[in-house]
Amino acid sequence: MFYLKTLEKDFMLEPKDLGPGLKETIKRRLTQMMEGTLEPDLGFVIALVGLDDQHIRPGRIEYETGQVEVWVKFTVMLFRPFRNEILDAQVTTVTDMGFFADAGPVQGIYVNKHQMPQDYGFDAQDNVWRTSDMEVEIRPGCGVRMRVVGVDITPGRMNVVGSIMDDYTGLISGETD
Amino acid sequence: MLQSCMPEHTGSWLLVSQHLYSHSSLPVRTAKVVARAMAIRRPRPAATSLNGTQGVGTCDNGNGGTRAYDTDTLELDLEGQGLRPLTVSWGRRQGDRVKVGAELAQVICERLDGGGKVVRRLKAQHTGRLEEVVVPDLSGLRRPGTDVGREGPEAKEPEERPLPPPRLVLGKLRYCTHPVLQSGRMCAVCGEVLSEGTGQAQEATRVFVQGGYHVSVSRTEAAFLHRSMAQKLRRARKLNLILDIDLTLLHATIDPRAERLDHQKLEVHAFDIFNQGRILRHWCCLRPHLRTFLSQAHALYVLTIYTHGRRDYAHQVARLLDPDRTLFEDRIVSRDDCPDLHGQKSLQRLFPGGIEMALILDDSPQVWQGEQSRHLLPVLPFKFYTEFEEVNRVAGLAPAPVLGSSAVPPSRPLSPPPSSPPTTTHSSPAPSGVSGKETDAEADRKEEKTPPVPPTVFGDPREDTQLEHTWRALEAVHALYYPGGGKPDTEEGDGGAGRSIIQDRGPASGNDELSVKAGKEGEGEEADEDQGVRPPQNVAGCLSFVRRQVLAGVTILFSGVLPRNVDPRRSDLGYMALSLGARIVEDFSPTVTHLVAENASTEKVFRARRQGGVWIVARTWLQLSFLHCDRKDEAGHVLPGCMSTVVPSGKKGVKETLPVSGGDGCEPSGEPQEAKEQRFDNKSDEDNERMSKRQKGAAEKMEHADGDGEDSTAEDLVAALEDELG
Repeated sequence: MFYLKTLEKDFMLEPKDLGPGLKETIKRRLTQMMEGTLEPDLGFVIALVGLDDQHIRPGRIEYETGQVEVWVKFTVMLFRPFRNEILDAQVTTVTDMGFFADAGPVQGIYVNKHQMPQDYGFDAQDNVWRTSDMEVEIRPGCGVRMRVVGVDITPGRMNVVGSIMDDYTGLISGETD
Repeated sequence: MLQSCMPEHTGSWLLVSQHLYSHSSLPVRTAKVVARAMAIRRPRPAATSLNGTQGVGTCDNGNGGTRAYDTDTLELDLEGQGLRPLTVSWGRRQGDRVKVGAELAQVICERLDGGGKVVRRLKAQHTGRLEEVVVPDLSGLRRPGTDVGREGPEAKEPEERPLPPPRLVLGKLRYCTHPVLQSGRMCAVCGEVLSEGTGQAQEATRVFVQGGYHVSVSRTEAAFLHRSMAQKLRRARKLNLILDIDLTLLHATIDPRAERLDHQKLEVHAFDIFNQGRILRHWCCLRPHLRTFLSQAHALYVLTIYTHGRRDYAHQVARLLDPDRTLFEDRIVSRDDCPDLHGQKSLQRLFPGGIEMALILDDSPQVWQGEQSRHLLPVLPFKFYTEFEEVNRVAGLAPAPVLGSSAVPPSRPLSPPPSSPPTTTHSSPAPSGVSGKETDAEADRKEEKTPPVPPTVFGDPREDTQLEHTWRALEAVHALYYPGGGKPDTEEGDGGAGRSIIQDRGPASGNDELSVKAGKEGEGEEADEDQGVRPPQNVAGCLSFVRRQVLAGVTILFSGVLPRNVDPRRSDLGYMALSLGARIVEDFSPTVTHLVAENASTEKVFRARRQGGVWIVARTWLQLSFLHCDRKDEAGHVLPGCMSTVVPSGKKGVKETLPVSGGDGCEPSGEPQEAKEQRFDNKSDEDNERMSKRQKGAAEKMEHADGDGEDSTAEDLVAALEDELG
């Protein structure tokens, strides 16, 4: 799920950044610093969407290093799967233990074989999961819709497990490269 | 969280809800749809699922085989406490999700000795869902005339008061057994994050999954995986074979001088690997017979690459050896997949349920510890670029340092597409005639510098026959494991070979084929008994069995090769000899057939020479026999200075008394011998030339233990013999 959140942060500005257009520089630096990172408990920062000038407080020069500490308050768009959310993802790896899929920055969403309907069977020859009526094949590159069963955020990594047991979940598109 | 424990609420708490979907975040409609769908999918009623959605996790069929969920009977143990339960008040309803340690129910008990009332609490042992809530009928246990107003006729009747049941069954809790954990923390079935110290998290074994992911599996799940793998293997009549890359299958270097080196007959490939912002060109010199070996082994074994190299490197090599992805498919384990093993290798993660169907091929035995070493088939390190920087050294595990700032000579275009496997094959030594000689000369100089005293097992890499021998051993092990023969579509011979090994093994005295056959008829009972015991159930047993054939009947005495205070059985050489089935004695006796000596001037050597009929060999004979899993021709390894005494009396005597098993793979004479003979003819001139050029004596030549080295020593022997006689 994508959502907006307002964050506050103290961050350090190097002396070389000081000069005319300071607020623009701060915005640029903040964007560079934040976008694409994984915030603990919040999820991946997709984009910096709002930073008002009034939310940048005057900085303070640190005596030791000469860097400027600036307090800012800004709004970011975040992405984080939640439990029971329905999520679309692309399969990357198929093994006999289940399969792994990516959804944007969230990589390696694991769908265990226990979380797949019973009529799926693993075909070791072609390395695909296939239903008993041979109609559905899950192979690397195809799109699946899953329900998120659990999310665990550790420093630098977000682990997600999913399930395609539910109705209307499972394969939604064939291989797309 | 128990909402209330007040006695007056008890009545309403006893009401058992039939409400099944307690998970609030799912809309009711979805749940109904789900329930309907699941009624089709599975016979199990919808009530059994966790967190409101359907059928999570009970896979009793093909794709699971294991059950992800288990049911716990909730009961209160009142045994021996002198208590009698009076009322049960539930704090939770049926279908509720409960966490571990949560209080589920309170049972108010009365002391039998009349000491008042006690509250006993029922707590959840697992995080799960209340599947069943039972309110037992305790009225029969009441004493007549107690305050609680139920004075039915049955209450008065039991004067003697039936004893309270020792265990009060109160319900059922269904919980996830967490069979698979992602990243060792989160259950992949129910999504619960387990804390590090939890028993399940600790117990779980990590497993490699392709693509660099890793999951952990519980013991039962591992056992299941193992069973299904073993089943698959048995059906295909295959075994697992783990292959190391560097120095086992090939020798790689990043030294640009390799470009100009004369590889002669060897197959060399080059590919580029992007590493830390640099493009590194790797040259890979394949071991002789590698491709034949792989295609042969593929028929009987499921091949897996396990290397200490980086992932890119491993995949490039795999692409090189296996452009169609038929040999290894995705079974490639690299250093990046196991950063926490610190230079060790472990099959635990490949085969969490046990490794009894796996064999390992590696040049460095020290990285395989414990049980795994019994599955190891060590090979002679294949070193071609002896003076160059080695890629992926095991010791430091650091990426090999770059030689010079520009690793690629500027004259070459930087990027032949790495995707096309046979990028550059140096089939002919086109521009490098001179430089090749230079390096040869360099090599010579180096050889001369190093004193020839410790004979080495390294021969000419071009004449390396390790893989041929290894293949024979692998074939023998496979035949032993699957006595009925190899894959149905391979030649019939496999089965016969396998049997013959078992039978040829014979009594320790050793027989040739005739006597084995005779023995089979004569002492059929014994043979049967032997067979009944023999066929070992796991691959390690088969391997050691095959090994034990190699030097069966040989008695070895060490002289000067081991420190004085070391038990020869515990030394490396002793281990080799014992595992090859030889006997080790510590003092000279008439039974000694082989004397492994360091130099010709020890007392034991003198005695052996006096006695005759004893091979006096260098340690290379034992080492090579071990590595090749094949009894090497002693004549090629006779200790320098002892040859003249040994050959006349020794050769005959030994040949007569020693067993030469007829099985394939354990047979030193026969086909390979012929091959050697032929090579001998072809190469003798060349050898002679080189000999005279280098001006080396026969003794010095001894250090070439393999290939043409052997041949030339044989030649020397003949020459020496002629000298002696004539």
